[in-house]
Amino acid sequence: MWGPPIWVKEDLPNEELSGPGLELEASLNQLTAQAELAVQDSDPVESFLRRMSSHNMIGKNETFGA
Amino acid sequence: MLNWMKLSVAPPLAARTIRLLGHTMRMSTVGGETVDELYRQGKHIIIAFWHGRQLMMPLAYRGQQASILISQHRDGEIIARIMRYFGFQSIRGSSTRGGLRATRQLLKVGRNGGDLVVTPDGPKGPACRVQSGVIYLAKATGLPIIPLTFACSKKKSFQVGIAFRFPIPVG
Repeated sequence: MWGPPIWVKEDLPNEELSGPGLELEASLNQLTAQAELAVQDSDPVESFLRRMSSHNMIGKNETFGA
Repeated sequence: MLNWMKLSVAPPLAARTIRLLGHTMRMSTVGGETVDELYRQGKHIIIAFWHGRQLMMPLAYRGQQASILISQHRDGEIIARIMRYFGFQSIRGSSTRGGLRATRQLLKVGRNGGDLVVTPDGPKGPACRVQSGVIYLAKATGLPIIPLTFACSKKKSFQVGIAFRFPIPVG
């Protein structure tokens, strides 16, 4: 998964380099989270288990049968 | 003997394994059109991905010629040799060893029309924290940084420097 380009101005003072650094960090972490989510969705078993857990289809105190 | 195995036998095997893994996976690419558009405009790029996600990255590259920053550590030599099988050139150095020379080489390649590939958190980490080197590189070369990541549904994580993800075939 490719993210949008991050441009760093050539006249940006060195003390302000942390700005684009944080932008890159956030972009990489967000992309990675999106990619992880996408592959979970593509796996039918993972996707089913995740949906069950998020919708609390099986409650902790729920009993089946008798 | 062990060194010979590591440096001569392991790299071609690893390269074949990466290609084989790639063939066993249903791969899909998202956002690649942005990179293609930059290439169409004749621009070059700095590709940045987390160190723990580097394994399958050679298969994602869309350009013609890239130079990868790889540490001078012994493991770095193995990675450099693996990358050669994918047509990448390596520039050896890191913040702890050979950094200045590597930076000069990266600047030269970046200014002369080549793509650069870096892991902004480096082999020693801290993981997933950007170090300033890649930002300096973008500023000095005028090249855009393109974030890249990789995920697979079935994987095994293990520790090589920092956490490393290895996809399980048919994942």
